[in-house]
Amino acid sequence: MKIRILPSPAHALPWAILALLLALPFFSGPYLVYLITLALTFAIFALGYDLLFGHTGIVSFGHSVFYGMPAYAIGMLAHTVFDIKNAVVLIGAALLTGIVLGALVGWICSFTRGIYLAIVTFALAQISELFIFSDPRGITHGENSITGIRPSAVTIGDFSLNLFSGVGLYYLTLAFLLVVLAGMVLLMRSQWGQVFHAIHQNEERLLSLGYNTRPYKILAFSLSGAISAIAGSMIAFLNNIVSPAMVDWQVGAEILLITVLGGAGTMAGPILGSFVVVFTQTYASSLVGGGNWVYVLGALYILVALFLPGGIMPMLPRLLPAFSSGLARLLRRKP
Amino acid sequence: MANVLVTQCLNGITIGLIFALVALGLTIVLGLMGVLNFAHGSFYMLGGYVTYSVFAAVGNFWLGLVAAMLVCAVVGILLYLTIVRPLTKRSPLEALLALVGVSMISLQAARTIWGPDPKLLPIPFGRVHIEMFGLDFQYPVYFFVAMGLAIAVLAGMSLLFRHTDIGIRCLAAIQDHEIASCMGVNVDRVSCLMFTVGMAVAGLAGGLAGPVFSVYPNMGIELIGMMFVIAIVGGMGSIGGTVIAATIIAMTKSISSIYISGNIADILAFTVLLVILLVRPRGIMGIASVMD
Repeated sequence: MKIRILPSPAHALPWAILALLLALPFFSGPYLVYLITLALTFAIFALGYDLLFGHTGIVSFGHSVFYGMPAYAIGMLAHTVFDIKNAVVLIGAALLTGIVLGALVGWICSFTRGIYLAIVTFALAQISELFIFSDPRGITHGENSITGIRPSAVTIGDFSLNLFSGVGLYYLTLAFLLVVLAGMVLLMRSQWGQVFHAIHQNEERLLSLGYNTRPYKILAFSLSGAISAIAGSMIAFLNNIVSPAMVDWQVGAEILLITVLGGAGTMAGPILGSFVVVFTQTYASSLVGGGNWVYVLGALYILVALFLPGGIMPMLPRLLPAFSSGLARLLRRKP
Repeated sequence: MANVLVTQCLNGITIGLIFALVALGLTIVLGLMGVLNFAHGSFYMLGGYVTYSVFAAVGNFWLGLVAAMLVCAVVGILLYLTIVRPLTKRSPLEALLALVGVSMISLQAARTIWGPDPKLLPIPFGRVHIEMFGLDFQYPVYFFVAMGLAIAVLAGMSLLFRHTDIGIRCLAAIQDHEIASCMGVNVDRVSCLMFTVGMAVAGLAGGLAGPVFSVYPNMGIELIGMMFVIAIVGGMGSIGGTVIAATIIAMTKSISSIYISGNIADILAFTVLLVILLVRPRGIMGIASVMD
């Protein structure tokens, strides 16, 4: 029997990545920290989307509502209507907006299903965006966006954390991602999660077994809305601006693509997908210049759809054993 | 006031019919293959640019329309064979992923080839002076011609579906893939043909829309979301439903924009469609189909 001192690479990998992410701000420049904060935010958003899409099997084209509207709630509270700068209050308000909007949209959507439901969410996203554009009583600033959202620093004892700049926001986002990830894992093991999976697999059967699926679908929308709201508020703090583009349905489409690209219904897939998309956008644009990164990302979408059924993540376990055995062979070789 | 109202009504009908042409291909592809063809907007844009290029080179707008249909049909066959067909058997969302990729690439390609600025196509024919029933206004003849052309194409497609062998095969495949293929319908061949026809019609719509809205790279992407709504609200695979939904949205927008600002008019149009979808969950003329 072989005694293994180190766990297998597949098990060690997530912890290694976490350690790397924790240590990152100590050795990298502010730009990389910004990029990774962006990717982490999209990862939170994609996880929230995947709760509805990959786990419950509901396709939404209007998730920008749960991402943009909470950000607008923050914008209104911090700038246009009130002048609240307390970060805890702002994030709490955003979460509440996400939950309420999720329940509302979920209730409307529970009357339809499948592709029709997707179109209903799309229409709701369009209506929300047009509402933002129409600038009722000057509270959304229409096309001009709400700028200058700067929450004050959070002080615990004599330790203070800046939430609108670099490293502080980076750790906050990372912490939120870990909380969301842990919450998702626990949720999927709970009875709620089991019902979500059952709705995904066969809703008719669940109905004929006597389950009322509607409250569960509304619950899934609501939880997904809450998680997306966290992502929206992080972006509002990161960019210090809330623009109508955040409510545009194309954001919802992008998060759908990120989730499909990474692998829907897995925990790591949406996170991987958002890192791939953010880094492709950034580095492809510096490599090929101008707006030509679109070619790279477009080709990536096409190639993944054609050659990696189920997204990138389900393919990794097949790749990892080959990688780890290769690594082991390399380590065993005597110099 | 009555003059403005009638003018806006006529605009609404023209734009609605152009929308119906675009949504037609979308609804057929969705019904037949279960694929949300995100790249459909790119064909609308391609049609507009081909019409513009031919017009700029030869000076004949109608030749441009024919060229737009041909180019879009050829590109459509290529797209079907390389990307759509391999993916229809898998998850529809993976097909969507690939088609979004196609549409991103074509948008950037159009920006590179033709530049980001809108290209203006002059409106063929002049204006006609209409003076009857106490109305007195001028209206471009081209809008009537575009209306006539769109109605002819839609009626032709409708006849094709009802009275020809291939059309009936297509309807059967929309209702139920598996039963249709058991009954000897070559679903793959029907799909290929209908995809091509849909893309050619989208190209025609792009060309027709050129003089109305001008031709610019984002014209397809801007429209595609609303086209999805029209295709679904009309009822999958139904030409009549598509025309009704497209006319409702265009008329609501153009008439209400007289009284209220554009954004509120759009909110109204989407709310109307939303209510229709909640009242009739399978669309205006929808039948139970594969997507249930």
